[in-house]
Amino acid sequence: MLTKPRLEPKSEDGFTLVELLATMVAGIVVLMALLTIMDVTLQNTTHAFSQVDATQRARPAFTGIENELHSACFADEETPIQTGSSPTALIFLSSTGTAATPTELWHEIDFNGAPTNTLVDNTYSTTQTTNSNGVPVWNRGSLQSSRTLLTNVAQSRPSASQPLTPVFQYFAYQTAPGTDAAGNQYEILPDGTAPVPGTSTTVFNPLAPGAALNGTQAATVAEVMINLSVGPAGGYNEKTNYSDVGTAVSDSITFRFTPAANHVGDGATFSPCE
Amino acid sequence: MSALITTLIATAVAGALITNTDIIANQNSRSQAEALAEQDQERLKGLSAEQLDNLGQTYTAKAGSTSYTITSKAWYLSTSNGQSCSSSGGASATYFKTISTVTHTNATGGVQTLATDESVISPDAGGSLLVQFHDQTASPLAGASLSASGPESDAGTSDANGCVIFSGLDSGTYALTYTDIGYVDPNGNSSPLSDTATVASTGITAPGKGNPIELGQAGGLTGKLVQTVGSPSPNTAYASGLSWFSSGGAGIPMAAYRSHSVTPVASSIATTNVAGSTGTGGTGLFPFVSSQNPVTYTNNYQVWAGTCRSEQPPTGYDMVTVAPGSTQTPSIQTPTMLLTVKKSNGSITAPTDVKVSFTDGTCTDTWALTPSSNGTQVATTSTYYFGVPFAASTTTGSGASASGQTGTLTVCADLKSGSNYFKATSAAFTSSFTATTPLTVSLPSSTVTSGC
Repeated sequence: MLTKPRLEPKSEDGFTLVELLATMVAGIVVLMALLTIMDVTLQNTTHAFSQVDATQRARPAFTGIENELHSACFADEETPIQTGSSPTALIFLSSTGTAATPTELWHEIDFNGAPTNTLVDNTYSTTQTTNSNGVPVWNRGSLQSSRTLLTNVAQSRPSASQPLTPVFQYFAYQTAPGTDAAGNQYEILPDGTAPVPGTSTTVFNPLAPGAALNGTQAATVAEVMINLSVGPAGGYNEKTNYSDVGTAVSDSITFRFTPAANHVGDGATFSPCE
Repeated sequence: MSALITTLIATAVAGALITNTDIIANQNSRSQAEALAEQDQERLKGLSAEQLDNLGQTYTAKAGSTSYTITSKAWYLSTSNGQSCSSSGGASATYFKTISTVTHTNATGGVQTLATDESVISPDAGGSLLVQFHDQTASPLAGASLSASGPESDAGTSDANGCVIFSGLDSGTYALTYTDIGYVDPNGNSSPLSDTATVASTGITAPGKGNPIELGQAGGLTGKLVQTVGSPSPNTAYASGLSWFSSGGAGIPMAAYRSHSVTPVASSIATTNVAGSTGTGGTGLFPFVSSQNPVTYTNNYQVWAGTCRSEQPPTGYDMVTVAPGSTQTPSIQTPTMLLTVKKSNGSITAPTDVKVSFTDGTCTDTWALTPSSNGTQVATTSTYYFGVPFAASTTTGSGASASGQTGTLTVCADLKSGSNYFKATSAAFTSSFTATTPLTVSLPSSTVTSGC
């Protein structure tokens, strides 16, 4: 009679319950740490992406405005910035087009605050007259187009404790602290972005802060500074818990063809479009 | 094992995420930096020509929570897009070149350049004035001041290329002043120096003296005259002053010899500076280089007694080294004269006062010799030794011979201390550094009323 060989019992070595529990706990700790890192990293990535998105949206719009403003000096004794320009409305003339003879256009770039949060370029035709001195004057005509340059924009703020920065600020040449080697006092555009060369003073003194420019002020504007906080295309809270997503964009446009005079009495003047 | 694998995977994933975030953050920084660079370029358009000329400015700006360092540079460009005023020479000032560079310093102190933007700006219409300063090595001299006064006024300081450029000037004639305290021009004229320039309505103008304007830190010397031969004691010598000349260096010539007169003159010709000072006043000596590489100043000047160029002794004698800011006290050789004065009757006499004059036709030098007090008497005779300038003919140093240069001198002798001079032309006199030279003078019978 054949007898079935007796099977030897298999090894009973393995994880004990304690080992299993310890491994699970360690794995959970590692996974929790990983998840935390992922969460923080993803938030930061989203934040950075949002800022890049905002910057990439802002730059073309700002470049477009700069190009229009750089075309604002097109006639002798014409002043680029127009009366009524304010912290939320930039009114100026520009001469652009593809034809051999560019067309003079009247622009009004309006910042619309909450809840609209847009920057809109309204373009008007112009009518030309002559003032009492025989100098051509361009007037606002009919609305030609209205184009939204940016959405999800707001006024920027240097810091939480400081007030909102006006969207449009205007600067005319003024004397600044410091003199050159001949003792002549410096003239500068006081936009406060950098120390005046030759001095260590940063001067910030915009025209008519918080108000609209009158005719005299508008005629002296030689620099416009634009300050905005531009959010990503999806809005300020796009896929992130951060509430401050958006990039503060500040650009200045100077209406000069040649360097200004070194000081009063030199050949070049301190007017715009010189 | 499984825990280890889990940890490795987690580390890799975390590393990848962090790297990804860094890349995105870097892109964001570059975007912000580019905006700041553009804004700085726009700012530079609002500056004046004076502020733009050789602008080198650094400031910080914040974008978001990040601080950036912005460096603004601007300078004049020539028509060939080189520096308008470079070390190789001046050129027309056609445009301003402007460059804005934005950098960020990371947590480890590393500086990363994130954006650079550049453009050109046309200068004002009008004339320009370009002055380039060089030092004694024909290298650019920075820190020299230029002021221009005329239809308008302007002032500036030379840059690393030694240049000052004024643009947008009204046309007309400008008075120029070059100032660099303690510096002199190659002919020894002390700063401040004057010049003029006629600026046209367009184009660039050089100063009246032409570019470059050479200035060197002045050196000085105090000369002491000594007799070369003979054994009189004290070893005294007499001259009306000192002269000096350099053949120049580094392509910079000395236009004309210079001299310094002193009265009275004696062996130590002056206790204060004779030929220059390193301070704000007085006459200085331009430190001509003897060799360029390395720069040396050895024996760059020749100094001699007397105030005429034609009293210059042979080349190589009494060479002096004048380095920037140095002071020298050289001993300057003089030939030894053995003076004998005879009355009209042929007897030898000892005058109370003798004036010996030398002329080459354009320059006359007179030195006073007082036998009783300053001469060195030969034994009990009426003959005296004097150290005198190397003067006997119109031949200047380059053609002279140390062993002798023969010519004539004019002698005025007062025999009675009454300023009643007898005037005579000497016998042949040979100036020499190698032998005592006798000079015998036979006086006429009557005095003169002029010429002495």
